[in-house]
Amino acid sequence: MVAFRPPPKLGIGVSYHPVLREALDASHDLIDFVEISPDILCYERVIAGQRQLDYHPTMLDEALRWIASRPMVVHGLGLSIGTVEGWNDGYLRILDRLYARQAFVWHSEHLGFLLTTSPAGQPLHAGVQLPLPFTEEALDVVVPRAVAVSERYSRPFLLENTTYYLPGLPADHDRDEIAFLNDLTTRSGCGLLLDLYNFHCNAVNFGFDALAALARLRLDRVVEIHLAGGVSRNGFLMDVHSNVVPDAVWTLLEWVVPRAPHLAGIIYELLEPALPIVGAAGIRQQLERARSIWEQTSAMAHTGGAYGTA
Amino acid sequence: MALRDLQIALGTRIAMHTPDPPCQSAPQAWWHTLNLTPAEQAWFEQVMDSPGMQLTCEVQQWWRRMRLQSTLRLTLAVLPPAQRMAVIQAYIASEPCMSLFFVPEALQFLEFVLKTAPDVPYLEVVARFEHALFRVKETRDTLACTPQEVVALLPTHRIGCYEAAALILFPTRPEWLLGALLQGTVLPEPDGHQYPVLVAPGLPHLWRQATPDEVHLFTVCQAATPVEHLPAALVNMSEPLHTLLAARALYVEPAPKCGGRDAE
Repeated sequence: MVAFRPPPKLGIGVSYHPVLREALDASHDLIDFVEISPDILCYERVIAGQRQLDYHPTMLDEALRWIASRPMVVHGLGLSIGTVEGWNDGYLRILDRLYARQAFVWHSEHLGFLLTTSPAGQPLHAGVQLPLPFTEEALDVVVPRAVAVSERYSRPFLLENTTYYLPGLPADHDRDEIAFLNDLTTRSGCGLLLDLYNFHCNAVNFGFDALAALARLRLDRVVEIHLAGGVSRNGFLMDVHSNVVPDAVWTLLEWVVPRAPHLAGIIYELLEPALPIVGAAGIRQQLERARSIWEQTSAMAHTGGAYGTA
Repeated sequence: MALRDLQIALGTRIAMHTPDPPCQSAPQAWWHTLNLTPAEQAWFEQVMDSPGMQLTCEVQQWWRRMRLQSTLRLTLAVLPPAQRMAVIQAYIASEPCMSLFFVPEALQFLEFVLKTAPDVPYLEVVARFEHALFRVKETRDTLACTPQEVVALLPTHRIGCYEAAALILFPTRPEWLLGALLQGTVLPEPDGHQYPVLVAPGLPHLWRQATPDEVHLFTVCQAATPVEHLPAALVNMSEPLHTLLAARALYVEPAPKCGGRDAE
């Protein structure tokens, strides 16, 4: 386990993408920090079964120029930290290169897995983040890796809760997602990137009370919050970062912010295909509302109780 | 380790996209060979055809379609609209997802199109051209050295083609065909001539039409060949050699030393 070290509070941020630059420029005055996914700035090739990532020669320069003097955090896409047979080393190599170029305040990845094999041993890429079961075996895989990644850069490392659509994930000791996240952050010392829209999707899709669940979560390990919107399909709420933040998620944010003493930043996420839907004005509205909640309630963060109080 | 096998089960099921009815009813269904606990096997059999599993598969397919539609401006434009989605769906059903990245997905799709060869005018030539463009673009962006200048060609020097460089024969003027595809206008008819197009990482726009001498030299040098083994006429063709070297279509290397070590 590493000691949990809360980072400095940064404020409100955006996820960087080259296609979104112009739209994000319209909210320049509202952006305190920038989250970057190094994967999107790279080529990927598979050589002798190994995934090799290389930065596009100009995309990283352009990203860092756009970020300028704002603090930078990292949100990876392809580490596949939960793959039993091994995570994606190629992702860590590009993160090494980014860190050598410009230090990040904290970094994060998805709590799940992308890579696996077929029954015959052929490499398989799921193409979508798949969930881990809420078991000791899963913790035995992820906890030491979270520790290793934290120690690699001497920066706080966060894991993000994901959306999943498979009911009744295997669990032991009556553990649910909340208990699993608590065990993960307690045993590893890593922080939590609480994706409130993912959380909301799971609550809607599986019929649990989101606020009651959040009340059981180790809110003292929440370092970053992601906000997003999505769509419904086939009776499920989907996390596709394709819309404005729904009211129910704003309600969750208003509840969490004063109860998460180490919350350091809130990010509004939008995927580039959704830019025509939300637009620059829509992005600005999301950032303004997030900032309003941050400024009004962050100073009122509760510190009483085991993990934060209801 | 049960978790490893649970991940294999989930990944394999998603790669299948749709349920395999014969497999489900077989007493030795494929997941029975995995090291799942009884509870995990029961869970997997419960969810494998669930609405949630179907949606998970659809999410993966959506991302793959989005990557292709964002990346393949030319090849998808060649396909008639009615056929376009069918080819994409056939590809997704046939070829497993290998990456979240746009270019590997595009290359895999183009290779599928070339393998299955739907009978669509210009599809093969455009797919080959677009495939070559992606490959040389990556090569250009990762090449560290500058184009070679060869002052004196020795008989023992070897001339070969860069792996990413390609020569593609268009049945109509390439700029007319590509322009029509990008603008959505009527495609030109083949005119009975062949127009060789060189695709190479050293070209300013990554492609241009090739001269007959360049075609001859590039074709002969497909395998790295000592100069002394090349036809004498080619050895004297210094201009196409220099233009192809500048384009990073060809390279010149010293002969390997005795014992198999290349000269520095």
